[in-house]
Amino acid sequence: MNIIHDLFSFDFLRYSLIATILASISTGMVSPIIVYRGMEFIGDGLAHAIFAGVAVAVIANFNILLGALSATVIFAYLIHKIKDLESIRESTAIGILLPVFMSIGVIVFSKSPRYTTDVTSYLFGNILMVVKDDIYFLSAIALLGAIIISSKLYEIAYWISDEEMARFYGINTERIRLTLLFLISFIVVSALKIAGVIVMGAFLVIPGVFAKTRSLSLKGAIYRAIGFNILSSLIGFTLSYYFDLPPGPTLVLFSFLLLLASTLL
Amino acid sequence: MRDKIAIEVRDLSVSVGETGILKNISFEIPKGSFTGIIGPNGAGKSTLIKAILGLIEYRGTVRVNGRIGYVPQLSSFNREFPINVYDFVRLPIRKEKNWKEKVDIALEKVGLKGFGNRLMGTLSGGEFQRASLARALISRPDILILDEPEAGIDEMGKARFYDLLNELKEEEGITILMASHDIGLIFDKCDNVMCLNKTLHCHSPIHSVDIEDIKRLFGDFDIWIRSREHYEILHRPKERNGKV
Ligand SMILES: Nc1ncnc2c1ncn2[C@@H]1O[C@H](COP(=O)(O)OP(=O)(O)O)[C@@H](O)[C@H]1O
Ligand SMILES: [Mg+2]
Repeated sequence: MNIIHDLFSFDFLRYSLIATILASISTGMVSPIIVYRGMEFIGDGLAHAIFAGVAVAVIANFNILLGALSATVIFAYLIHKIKDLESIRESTAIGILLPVFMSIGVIVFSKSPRYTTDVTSYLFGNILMVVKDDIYFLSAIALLGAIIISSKLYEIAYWISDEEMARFYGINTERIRLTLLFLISFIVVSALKIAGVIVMGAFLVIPGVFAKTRSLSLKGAIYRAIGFNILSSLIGFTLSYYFDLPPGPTLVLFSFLLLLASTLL
Repeated sequence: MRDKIAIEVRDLSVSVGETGILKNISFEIPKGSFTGIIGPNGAGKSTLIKAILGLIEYRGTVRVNGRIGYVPQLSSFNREFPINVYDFVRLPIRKEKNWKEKVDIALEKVGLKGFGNRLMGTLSGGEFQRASLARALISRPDILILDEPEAGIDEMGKARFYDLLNELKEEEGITILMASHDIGLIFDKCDNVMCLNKTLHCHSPIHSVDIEDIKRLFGDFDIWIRSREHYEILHRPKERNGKV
């Protein structure tokens, strides 16, 4: 009953550990951006979009991953458009769209209540079902995120701190916003098996909150958020393994406890 | 002579939905002048500036002759965000290789030598505005547009800030257009003054301004004019309004 020994013995355990680390990196990367920009509910919004996408995919006998991905891309694009048209904050646009997508999902499911294990694993995560392809997908998205964020770090920082001046001095803030919204959508979809949509929000918010008050730059905040996420999910992962608890929720609870402890210390 | 004009505005109107915010504004700003825009809160000063900068939609024509540096109203910056003075100031020249030297020079000019690594959120109001000025100056502008730069600065800080602007005007010939609440300082430092409240109520050299215009502009509240040489803004109790 040694996790190290088990890791060497069982592929599925090794995969799920690698997937957890990759998901911690990619969600940690965008978390400070989400928190500083004040769009903390994007994770929940995307979760509801995914619910609708999965519902439609199940009914239409369509690939569930593609359903989830298309729904989040549509959701992200609508946030972008509504924000432009009404000159409101992203968080308000998210608040408008979230119940809309949830309603679509509920209505579609009401016509054919076929919850499959696939659906539940999207909703709640299913860390022990991680396969090699998931690892590839997670790695690709984490790499994409790292490239986008590191190459546009300065522009992103100005977009968060002073959008009007960024625009005045030639930064394409629209493109930055849309790119980041899409990136966050991909990250959420890629990390679904780890956390499930229900608790995904925590992965996107808690590390950013931890990093926010301790950092001297956006870059520093991103590194801190990633470090926090990796540490807390590794410990959470181990705990869930030893005590046979559902991994996603265990990870979130532990992450919250770690944040709490860090503010008290 | 066209080339003596820095900014030319013709029949400028701005509305949001059905509401007119600015109506039929026309004026010219001569090169090398220091013009103040005064007007009560909500008069449309920021809107006029944003129209000149091309940040919002408008009807009419705006011609700008030269490069603009812009010092926005304090509120547009998210003070919680960790960005240091170097990164804050280098925005206009962020793609240049030797930005650091240039930022250092600009910081020295505005009296913030050695502040490069400080976080913007830790600066005082006056320091913040000077950093904002450094950012505007770093692109070597011909025209400097400032929106209520005195907000959040104490009296000492204000005096130093305006002296700095005067220096820029005298030594580098920069044209300055500045919206402000601070009528006293405008009368002290500017060559020309524009009175704005939805439309342009006056636009003239500072010495030929009609005090009655200004009183009308501000309505009955918060301006107290003792003489041509002495202007004060006071918050008068309501019942004594109109007895100026
Ligand atoms: N985006 C906007 N939508 C609606 N009304 C606006 C908008 N921007 C400014 N206003 C209104 O236009 C008027 C002028 O605003 P502003 O230019 O900020 O005035 P000032 O800078 O002189 O205080 C105010 O009544 C304000 O409420
Ligand atoms: Mg204003």
